[in-house]
Amino acid sequence: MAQRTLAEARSVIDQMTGLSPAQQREVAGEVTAAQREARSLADRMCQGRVDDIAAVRDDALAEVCAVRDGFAALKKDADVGRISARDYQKRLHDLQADQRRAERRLADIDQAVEFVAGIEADPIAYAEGVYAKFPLIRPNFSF
Amino acid sequence: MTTSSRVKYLTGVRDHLSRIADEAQQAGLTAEDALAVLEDREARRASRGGGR
Repeated sequence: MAQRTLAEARSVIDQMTGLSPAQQREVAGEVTAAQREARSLADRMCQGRVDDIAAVRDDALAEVCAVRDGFAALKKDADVGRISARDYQKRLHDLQADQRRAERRLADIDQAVEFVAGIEADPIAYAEGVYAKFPLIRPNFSF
Repeated sequence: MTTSSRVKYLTGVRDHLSRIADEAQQAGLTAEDALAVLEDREARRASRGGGR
């Protein structure tokens, strides 16, 4: 048994000579199983990222709405002369800090979209990248 | 969740938040402008009070 990336496995197969049809079927079956395993790995990664975003979605939405509504309420307080410039400035800075945090969260979601779309476009390539970095999780082959 | 529906879901979440973030940004700019008006108003009031 040997752990290999799919590309390595194909390369080894290409160098094999004199395989019987049964042996050819066997190695092809191993590659098919390894591809299935690679797709499953990619699928778990995608689902994990989606789950991460689903877990923070409501908080992120509440946060950005609070920032928007906070700015509007602050402006209203200024319009009716209910707040000093000094207090206004402090609340404005606090809201701007909240806004930056909300924007970082949005950027994280944006990255998740790119990440998942990229993996789904080519799950095998993604898995091969993971196998290249982490040899211990490469698929096992009999050859 | 199927493969394409994941991207659709994430895109939906991102677009929804993005729309509200744009509204927040606009409200923030308006609020910043209002600070200048408020400071100006206070300065004029102080100057009127000081002249008495």
